[in-house]
Amino acid sequence: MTRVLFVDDERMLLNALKCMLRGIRREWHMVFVDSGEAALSELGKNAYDVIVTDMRMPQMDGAELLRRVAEQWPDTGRVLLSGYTDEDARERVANVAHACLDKPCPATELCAAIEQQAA
Amino acid sequence: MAAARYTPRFLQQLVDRLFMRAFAVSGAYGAMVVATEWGHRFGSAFFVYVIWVTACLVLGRIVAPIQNRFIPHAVFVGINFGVVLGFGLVTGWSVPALMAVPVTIATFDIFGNGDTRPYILTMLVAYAAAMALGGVDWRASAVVLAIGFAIHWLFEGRGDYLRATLAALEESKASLEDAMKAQLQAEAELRQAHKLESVGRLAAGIAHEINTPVQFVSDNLSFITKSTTDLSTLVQLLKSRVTSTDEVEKAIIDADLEFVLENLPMALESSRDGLQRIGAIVRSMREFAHPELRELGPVDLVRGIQNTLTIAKSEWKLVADLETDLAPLPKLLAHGGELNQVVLNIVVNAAQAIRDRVGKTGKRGRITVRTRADREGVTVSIADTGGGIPAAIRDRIFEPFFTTKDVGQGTGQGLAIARSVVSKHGGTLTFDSRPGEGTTFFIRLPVPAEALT
Repeated sequence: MTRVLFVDDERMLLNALKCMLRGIRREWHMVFVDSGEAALSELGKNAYDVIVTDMRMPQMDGAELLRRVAEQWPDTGRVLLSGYTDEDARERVANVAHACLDKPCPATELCAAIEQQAA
Repeated sequence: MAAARYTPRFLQQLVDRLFMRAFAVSGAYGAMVVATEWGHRFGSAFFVYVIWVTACLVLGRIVAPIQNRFIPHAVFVGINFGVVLGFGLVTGWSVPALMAVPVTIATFDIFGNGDTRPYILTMLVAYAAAMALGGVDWRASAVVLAIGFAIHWLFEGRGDYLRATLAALEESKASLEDAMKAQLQAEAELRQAHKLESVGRLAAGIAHEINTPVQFVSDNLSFITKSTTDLSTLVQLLKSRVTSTDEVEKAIIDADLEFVLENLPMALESSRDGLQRIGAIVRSMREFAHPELRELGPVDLVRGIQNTLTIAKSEWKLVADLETDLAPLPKLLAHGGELNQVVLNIVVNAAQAIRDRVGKTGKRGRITVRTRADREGVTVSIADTGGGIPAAIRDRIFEPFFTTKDVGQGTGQGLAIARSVVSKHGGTLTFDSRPGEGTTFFIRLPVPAEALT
């Protein structure tokens, strides 16, 4: 079973993802957390195939989170799902993300990107 | 060869000069004889002076057209001199005469065109004759002549220096004015760029803020759509399997179940459509203000135009229909953001022109945007069905700070900056305007050589 960790400071977005992806709950094991710190501690406890994170979050942003994930769990696929990435963040993220998706991102595209990273 | 080529003209000039010299000498001589004779006859110095002035003016009128071929103001200098000298001769007051000679010669040398010697000589001979005739002592005459020659020797050709100085002054004035204009333009562009940058930053931030809810609303919508299908299947199954009671029947009617099941998919579908539209607008906004577009790089102009038209929709949708005919264009090497701005500017102007024309009549105009590529490069044409640009201001619309809009409506920099942006990209911005029919702007841009091959 593919294990996917979703990170976004917007709870509503996490809930919506949870609902939307409910159809594939038998194929993916999905965990939703609302901050970079929570994501790191979750990764410390369980292994994940893919991490999907937002860019702009308070404290630790997506680029920083993915950088740490790349260091500590290099086998985890790293996907950025963001509404907007400014120039500076774009540069930082370019080296650490395997895929960058723009919000709003259709379910099919998101699933395809996750499947690709999990494979 | 060169000598042969110039000889006829030289001869022509010589004949002209000899003719003028003879004419001036005899004319001045004749006028002075007449004036002096008449003056003596009537015994009035003032009368002589009047006749003298009249004679000189008449002489000037006759000589002027002939002399104009060479030296327009020589005649007037000559007349002035004649008047002063005549006054001096007749009244016996020799100071004006003595003063007039050097002053006139110097004036002549400084302000005359070309070789002044023939004219100086003519004058001196004429006035020497006049002095002799008027009974001025020969020594005084000699002094006047000597001073005249000395002045001429001193001032000859000074006019060239003066003219050169004046020309240089004019030139530096012109270049200063140009520099000032360029400076103003640059400042305006800089302000515009800063404005664009902050607008872009703002737009990108807003895009992010909008996109996050759009993301989860559409995710929820996917979930609701899926669940709705599942639930209605379930309801159908229950309806067929469960024995209905009055209570159930009543609940079904209260819930308007039939209508709900029929319309839910449609409501969801239109919500999805609305979200897609929001997404498209936000994407256009984000792309329009994309940071990469501030740099020089490969630009898909058609995409830029589409984004710009989406963003400017609120400007035109109430007064005009949009017609697009966008042929694919090769990638340009450009500052995409600046080109977007040019297109935006012209589209907003077009909408404004149509709004001014249709007013509150409820009629609608049309904005037509076309792109074409050929061997020369690419052309974007933006046509409106507004009132056209009045002929009187057509030359001025690209001037910085020229505006026809009311105070506060426009800064008059839009088209000036647009033109400067286009020329910075090696292109041209032109227009074709017909009063009562509308205006079409043409943006022509070169395509990088490698894109053509």
